[in-house]
Amino acid sequence: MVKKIIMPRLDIDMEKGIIIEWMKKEGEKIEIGETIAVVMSEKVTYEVESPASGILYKIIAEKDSEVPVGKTIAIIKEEGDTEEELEREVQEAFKSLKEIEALIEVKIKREERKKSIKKEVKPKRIKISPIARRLALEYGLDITKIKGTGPGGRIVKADILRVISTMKTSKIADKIRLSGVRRITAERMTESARIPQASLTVSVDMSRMIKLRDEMKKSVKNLPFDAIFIKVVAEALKEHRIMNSTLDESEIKIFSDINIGFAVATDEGLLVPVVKNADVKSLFEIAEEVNILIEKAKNRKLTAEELKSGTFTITNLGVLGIEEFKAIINPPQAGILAIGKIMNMPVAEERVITIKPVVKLTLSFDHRVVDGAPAAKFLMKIKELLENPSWIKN
Amino acid sequence: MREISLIEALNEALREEMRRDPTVIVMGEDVGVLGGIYRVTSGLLEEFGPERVRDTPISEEGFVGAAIGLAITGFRPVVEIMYADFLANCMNQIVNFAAKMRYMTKGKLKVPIVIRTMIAHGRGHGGDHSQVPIPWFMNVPGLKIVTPSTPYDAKGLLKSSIRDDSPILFFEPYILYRHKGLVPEEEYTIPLGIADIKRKGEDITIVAISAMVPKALEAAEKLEGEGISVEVIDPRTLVPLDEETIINSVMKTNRLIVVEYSHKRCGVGAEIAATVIEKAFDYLDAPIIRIAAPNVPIPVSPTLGKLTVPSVEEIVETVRKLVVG
Repeated sequence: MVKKIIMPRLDIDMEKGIIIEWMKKEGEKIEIGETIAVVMSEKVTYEVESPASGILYKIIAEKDSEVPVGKTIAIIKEEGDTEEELEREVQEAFKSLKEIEALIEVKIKREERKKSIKKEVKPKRIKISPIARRLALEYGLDITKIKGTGPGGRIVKADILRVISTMKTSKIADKIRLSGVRRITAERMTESARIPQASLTVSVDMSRMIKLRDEMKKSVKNLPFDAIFIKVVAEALKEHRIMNSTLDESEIKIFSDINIGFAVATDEGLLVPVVKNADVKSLFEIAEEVNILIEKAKNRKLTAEELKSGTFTITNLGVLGIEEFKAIINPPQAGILAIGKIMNMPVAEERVITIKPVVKLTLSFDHRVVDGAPAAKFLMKIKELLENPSWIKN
Repeated sequence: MREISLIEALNEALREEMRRDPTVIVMGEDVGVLGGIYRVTSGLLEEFGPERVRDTPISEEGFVGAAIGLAITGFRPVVEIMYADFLANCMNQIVNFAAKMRYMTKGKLKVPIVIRTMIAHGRGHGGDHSQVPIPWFMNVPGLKIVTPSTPYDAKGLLKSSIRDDSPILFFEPYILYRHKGLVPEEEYTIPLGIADIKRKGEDITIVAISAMVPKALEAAEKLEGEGISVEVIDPRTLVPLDEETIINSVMKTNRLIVVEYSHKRCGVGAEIAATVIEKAFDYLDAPIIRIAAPNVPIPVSPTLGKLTVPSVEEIVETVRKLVVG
């Protein structure tokens, strides 16, 4: 029996995966269990292991191609496999992929046709030469606004060049297909934009927390601020359960678990690994988990499990020098906390001005779920927990 | 370099190939004793004798058939059909035998025959002596089609045609027979399927066929004075056609005119225009225009006859319309 490598299902919702890398070339030897390819679902990368020892006979799906779950992406040649059997499998695999492409194409064409039917209602036909049309598209010009000087008023190349020379338009050099992380981010953010969101900002005196952190660092070397904020937010959510919820049609569902996602910027885009049950974990446990998750995010090793089930998110651009900012919520969650840079600032205490390390925290929340006052109380709770941090050691 | 006429260039090509290869023979009406009605085969009988230079009866189907027989048994016959119109008389031999044999015998037979013929259009010889039947044969797979416009090209292309193993139709434009051009004395050949850019330009491409090449060049010269820069391409062989050179040129100039003196309907221009639309549609800035003979039999009357050959004025006018508007 010829061994096939198929696109694995990495999580329940996965329909398609992208081939990130082939670790072996065609004709190269491979051992059972050795990584043969790296594939990616929406936000997870996964190393596909070879189910057999032999030779990578044929790569069916090239690097960067998108393949439905369960489809063959490569064929392994084991000892005893005949050329004939192998070729048959190769043909079948290609055919199966082609059929899907054809289906998609038919669907796209049907949709395009629908669109064009709608467009035909517009009465005005624009006379434009093929190269002029192509250039207009490349430079993103609106041809309805261009006057044609060619025969019969046709828009010709010279007209487009004239427009380009007078406008500050850049030629679109490349179109980046939204895939993987980028596409998911785009979808999520569009979804988020539909949610009525409000935001509140507060300044927090971090002097005690920093002092405490310095003390704790004697026993725990790597204690990222993200871990501290996760612990603090989880603690605040315990008291303000309404912030740990989601709006589902006509119901607000309050989650029983407190799972805090934290945004990590990677070369591939934004990833949000989740520290689960952060409210019952100690700061040190959280710190350890955060460090592992950051490492995994940067190496694209996060599993679907580690990205799932967040109930609240924090995002920290302070590390990049941003003083304060407003984040938009990560649906279906109801809130997100944006953390700015910890800065030494003059603070008036009583009638004396002192310099203190201050951080600005901005809470964005789903205004359908919660009003300004309860959200403000939640944020003030966070402030209180940060400014009086001795509890955190427990 | 010396200057010789297109007739002399063809004569040299035949002579050199006959000297080089004893299987090359010449057949046709009046090619021997007379040396061809336009002297293309002049002196060949004297040098190579009646075995290799044969006068034939006025029977195109018969002697073309005989030449095909010679070709499949190891000779390389060069047959002259006096007027291209007479290709109709031997069409069956060319289309159903010469073009098919190699394919129908799985390549066991090859048919290395060159059929030279003269296009007389532009001389006032009437409807059955003025046709430019290149498109008839472009529709027949298995043939190659060559038509030179300069003495240099004529010699180089005829030599390559004689050495080629495919059946070849070699169309010689009568109105260029006495045109002179530079031809080197040393040996050279021109590969089939390579177009020649006769003049470089930026604003418009003219693909000119056969005797239309000098007209296109004359038009380009006039237009240069008006600030319009014309690129003139001579495909030289129509099968195989050098699509790449034509398409690259259109991608640069964004405009194309094809000038031929065959009839317009289903002509060379139609084929080239369709090819360019298929492969370079997004580069066109204007409709592709065909300039060709009208779809009527060519009249004997010199006044009317003149109207059936594309003129320099017509080319100039068409270019102006496309470029200036």
